[in-house]
Amino acid sequence: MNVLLNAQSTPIDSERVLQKFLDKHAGNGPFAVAINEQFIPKTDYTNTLLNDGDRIDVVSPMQGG
Amino acid sequence: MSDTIFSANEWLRYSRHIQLSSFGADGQIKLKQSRVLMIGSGGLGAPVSLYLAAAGVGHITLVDDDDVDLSNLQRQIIFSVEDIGKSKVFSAKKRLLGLNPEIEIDAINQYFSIELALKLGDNFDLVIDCTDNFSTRYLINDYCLKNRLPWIYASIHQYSGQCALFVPTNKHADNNESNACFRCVFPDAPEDAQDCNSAGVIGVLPGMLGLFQANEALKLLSGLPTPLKNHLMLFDAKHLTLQKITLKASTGCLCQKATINLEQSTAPQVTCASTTADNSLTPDRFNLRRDDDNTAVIDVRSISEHQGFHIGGTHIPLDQLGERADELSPTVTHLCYCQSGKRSEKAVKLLLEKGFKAENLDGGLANWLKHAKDNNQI
Ligand SMILES: [Zn+2]
Repeated sequence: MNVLLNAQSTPIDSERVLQKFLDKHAGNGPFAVAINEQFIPKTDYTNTLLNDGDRIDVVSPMQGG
Repeated sequence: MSDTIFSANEWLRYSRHIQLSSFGADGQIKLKQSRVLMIGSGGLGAPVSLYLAAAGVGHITLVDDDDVDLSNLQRQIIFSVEDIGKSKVFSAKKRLLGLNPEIEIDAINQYFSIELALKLGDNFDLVIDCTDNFSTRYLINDYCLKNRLPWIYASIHQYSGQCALFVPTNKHADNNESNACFRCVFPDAPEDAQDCNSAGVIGVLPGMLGLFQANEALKLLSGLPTPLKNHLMLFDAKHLTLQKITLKASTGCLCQKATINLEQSTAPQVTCASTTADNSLTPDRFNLRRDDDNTAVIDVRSISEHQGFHIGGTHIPLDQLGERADELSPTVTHLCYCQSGKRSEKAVKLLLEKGFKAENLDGGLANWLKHAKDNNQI
């Protein structure tokens, strides 16, 4: 099973729960997450399951202006 | 003649809007009657304010406490060389009224603080976030939640930018709509934010993001659809990609609370200044120290930066400093500099760990040059 993480194909084995996937792939620091262009609030990370082909975007906040 | 909403000059000035399908005289009247609060008059603020003023937004309030600097002119195209050292909002007001004397501009030469937010009240139709820091964005979010004002967020970094239209949900409305706020999307700001100066930004980027903001603003004010509402737009200027993420409110977020207390609005503290330690040097102190016999200057930037401009010293890029430390004298104090003071801070730390004496030019070459310019040394 593969997902697209920030446009990069990424295999997922056991970590179908979003929280576990993020623990493994997203690194530290605050970020916002979207699956298939739908924002997932932080409180939903543990009850969201990933599916084959999902497009996951991990977005860092930026402060420039 | 005198009983019309527009003067003959205004009617002529705005004719391209008035003749525009689904905009028309209705849209132009709405713009004239609109009050917009713009927070920040820098990279984003420049294009947003120029286009809103040109379009005929009747009342624009500008808030910023910064002065124009030579390094702003790479992207803040509202300013000219003659504005350097002067207040951004006063310079901008002059330029905007030169572009369109039919509108009103309030220039507030202050930082957007909780006190100012309370004083400004809610007499606006729209708030536009053109700031350059997280803490002000959280305050804008809370201010707009409290006063139920729509606001347009944008921020930029290097080659990419983000933009969103946040519309606080009317809790008394019949529909079950629940829009996200900025805190829903980013409940925490990074503790170690990308260093503001050294990160850099391509000059056209604030122009592009600013025009996305202005476009959404003009549509919202004139009554046209605003597809950015409750969406986060991600734009990449390098690969030319654009994405739109549908937002949703986060359970337990501040925006879900019945009352918002602005006095208690807080955000994670983020500062752009590099930490001042005992071994950090002001530009003045650096200039004095470099004349000492027992000091040596090291430029730790890249080769192209060194070739581009330098203020003397040996050139050893930070990534080579570890392996080339044996070239350095163990007796003198090494005065390290880079562009913004971040890399040289790392260099100083590395040299101290290796037993050398080292000091850092605080704020880097950028700060040194600004200081020299302010003192007419260059
Ligand atoms: Zn919220």
